Amino acid sequence: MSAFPDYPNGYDVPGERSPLVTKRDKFHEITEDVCRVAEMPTPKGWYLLFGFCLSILGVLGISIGYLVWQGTGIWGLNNPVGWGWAIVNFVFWVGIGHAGTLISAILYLFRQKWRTGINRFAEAMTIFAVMCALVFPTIHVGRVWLLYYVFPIPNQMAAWPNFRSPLLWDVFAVSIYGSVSILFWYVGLIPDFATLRDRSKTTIRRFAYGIVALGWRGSNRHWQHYEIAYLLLAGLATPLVLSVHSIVSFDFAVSQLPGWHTTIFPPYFVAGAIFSGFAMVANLIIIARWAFKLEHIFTVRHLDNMARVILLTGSLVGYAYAMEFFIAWYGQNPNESFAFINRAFGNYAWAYWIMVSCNVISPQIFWSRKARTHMPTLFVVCIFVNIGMWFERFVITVTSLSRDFIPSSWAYYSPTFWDVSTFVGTFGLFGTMMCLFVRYFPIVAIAEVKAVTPAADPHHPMYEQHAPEEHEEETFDAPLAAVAEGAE
Amino acid sequence: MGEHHTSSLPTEPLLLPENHLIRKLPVIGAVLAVLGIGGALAFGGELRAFSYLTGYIFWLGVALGALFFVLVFNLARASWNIALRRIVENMAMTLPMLAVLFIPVLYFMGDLYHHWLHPEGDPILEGKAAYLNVTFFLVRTAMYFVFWCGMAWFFRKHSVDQDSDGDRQHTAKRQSFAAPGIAIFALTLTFASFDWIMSIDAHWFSTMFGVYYFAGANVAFYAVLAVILLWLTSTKRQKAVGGIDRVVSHQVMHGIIRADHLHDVGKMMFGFNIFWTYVTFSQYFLIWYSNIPEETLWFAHHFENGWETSFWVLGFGHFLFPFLFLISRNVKRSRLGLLAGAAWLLLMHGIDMQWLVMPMASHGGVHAHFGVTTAEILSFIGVGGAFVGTWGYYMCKSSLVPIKDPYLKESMSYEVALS
Repeated sequence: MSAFPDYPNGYDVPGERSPLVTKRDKFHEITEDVCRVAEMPTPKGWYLLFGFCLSILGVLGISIGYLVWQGTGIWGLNNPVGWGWAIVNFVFWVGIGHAGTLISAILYLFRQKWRTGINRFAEAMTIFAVMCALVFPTIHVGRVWLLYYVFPIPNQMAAWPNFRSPLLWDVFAVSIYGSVSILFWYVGLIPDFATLRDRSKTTIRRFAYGIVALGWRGSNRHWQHYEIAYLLLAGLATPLVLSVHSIVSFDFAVSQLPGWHTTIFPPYFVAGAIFSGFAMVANLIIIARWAFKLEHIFTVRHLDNMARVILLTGSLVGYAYAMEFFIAWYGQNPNESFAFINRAFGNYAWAYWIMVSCNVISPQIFWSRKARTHMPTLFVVCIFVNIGMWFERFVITVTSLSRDFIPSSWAYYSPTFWDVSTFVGTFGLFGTMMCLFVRYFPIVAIAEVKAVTPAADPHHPMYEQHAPEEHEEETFDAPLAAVAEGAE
Repeated sequence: MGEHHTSSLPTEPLLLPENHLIRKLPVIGAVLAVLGIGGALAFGGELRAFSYLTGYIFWLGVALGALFFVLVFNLARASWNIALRRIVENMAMTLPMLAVLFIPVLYFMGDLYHHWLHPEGDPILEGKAAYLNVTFFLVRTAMYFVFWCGMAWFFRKHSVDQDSDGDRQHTAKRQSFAAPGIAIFALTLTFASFDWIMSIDAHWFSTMFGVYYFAGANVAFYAVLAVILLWLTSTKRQKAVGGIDRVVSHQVMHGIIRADHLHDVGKMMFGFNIFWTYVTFSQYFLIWYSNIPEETLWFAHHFENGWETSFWVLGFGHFLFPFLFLISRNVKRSRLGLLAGAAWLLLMHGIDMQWLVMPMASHGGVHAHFGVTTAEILSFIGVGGAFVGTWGYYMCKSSLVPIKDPYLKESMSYEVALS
């Protein structure tokens, strides 16, 4: 008895909510539609895309190979700009990852049912983004084979990492974040792996999915443990969303450098991370819903909500820019004021204004519901947001360093070919992982999505339309009646 | 149908019973306000300016937290809060009263803000004079209150009007005005906290300061809300034959505000408390780590004359103990547990506000040592009396539940399953 509302999805009137699965919303149809993506014969387009991503990944391999051979001198770093694209790209990718954890953990604690459609995709994105991020701190040390020095391993030279350095906290924060994200993602995947296992037609598939499904039988007991594990992991992942990017912001903010040292950095970085991550998820979802014909699961309402979050977090980032500027003037510290005037009107003004127009101005179009529900607009603006957020990290890192306290040491920084090729190469890594994910994994949390269909909700208005009189006849509780009488 | 948890949907306006204590609150509150504020101003001694500001920003935070609650849950199209939203709308309507109660702060400007009122000879303060001057300060203050009172009025009006006509357009209006409302709220609250609190030490600055006041204000608001809800849902029990408790009477919201609502209010209080810790820690930590004198000086001032004690009390009392206590689901769902947590956090918020304001009194020629002054207690009672009285006045004026809100049914039937 599918009776769908007569307004377009995402255009719900007050008091009603657009369904989270439209058209094909029967349980079996959802299973079919999601599993089809992993079960259909590999489409030609996938081979093309995968080949393309692999070759970009090759660019990353060559760039890293040459870097290890030659040393970090192949990058555009100079004195005073000792931190260039490597840290910019690291922060960019870690930030992208945050949306996945926000969607899967924080929105879960907030009982946001619309998260179920997109959380699997977003979590996968988190993990791949963290992988891309980890490339940069790993390779920037120069002698990659000595990377284990970042870990506090007892050794005969009694050489320890500096525990007072936020760079070391980064090592802990990002590795914990990566581990919990993988665990969270995997726990959610188990029931859906079991579904794929049970539907497998070949022995290899049955064997492979059987191993990763960990003997899931879908019993009541399994589900109970699953729900508790999921809740606990959501509770653990929630502080991680805040802590990881706060610690990344400490990399800058604990210093005394104007433009880096300001107290709002931790929440400002977290808001920016969620902002860029949501834009990336929206981009990927728009492609996936079109490529795999999943418009009824990744609905307009999902994308509308994501655009709202992008508008909100973009405005928070704008708030932080405004506070930085105001306080730079209000503090009346000439170095601080100079750093900000230099950002906006100095020799990196082009980067600054790209950042402001992409991050603060472009998302303002999402005040209009038409823009939020129009896929091409949404797609383009989300790309702008990602460009803007990359430039934000560039502006923060480079402008403050290139013109520091001593004018005689000022220098202009520009990247080399190898800076660019390494960054582009990480998109190859990201794309390759994404291609493998959509080919072999259930890209939607099948079991969870079923739970938010109208059919799963006995109180859904769509089904209550059939018995409205019965509901209105119901009298309210005796205590209330007593109170109402007392009031008369 | 016949599901047990959807059956108590109210259809008639739920009004306060004739003899209810809330109906007497306007009078009680007025008496407390006159005695408290009058006493503080008349007999408060040389610390009365700072003491009054402490009491004032405590209650202002509660009212602003209420306004934020109304804004954010309208914006999010949330439904859990509908059953208790009218109570909160009435709390936000205390803002016009708080605007009137700002007059003593203006009267005391010479004591509170003497640093920037006389910037002559100080190049830093002279540089700030374009922002920190009396005229612009008054214009900004007026703007903050116009926006806050306007928003509190608008959202309550479109909620109360819906009680009679049931028009969904009211909901649509509230939802669409909530978005720009949040933006205005963020900016006004930030600059208000800069103007009224941060500028006491006119040299000092922190980009985080607005967020700091916002976070603490929300903790206090949810704590007050929890106390109110616990009161309005309480029951009177009597031992019946066989030793089994029997409910003999109950408060007016009993059966409407359920354990799930209380649990959610507890969770919001807990969450904002962690947020407060996060903001407070980040601000302190970044300043401590960089160790730049122009920033650390503020903490140096706030550690003088024994005030360092407050700093440590806040670290343990505002964060660690409530964190360990309130993290448990059972505690948040227990009436006694929630009450204890809320009361404790209110005390901590008071210490926090006191710590922001009082240590700076020593820089005006008087000495404020660690401790509580009579003027502070009287100010707290006085402004609180005005707050409670105004709230009570609006509580009498309309239904206690927005009975025709289209999301009310969801609010009455949702369940906190696991989380």
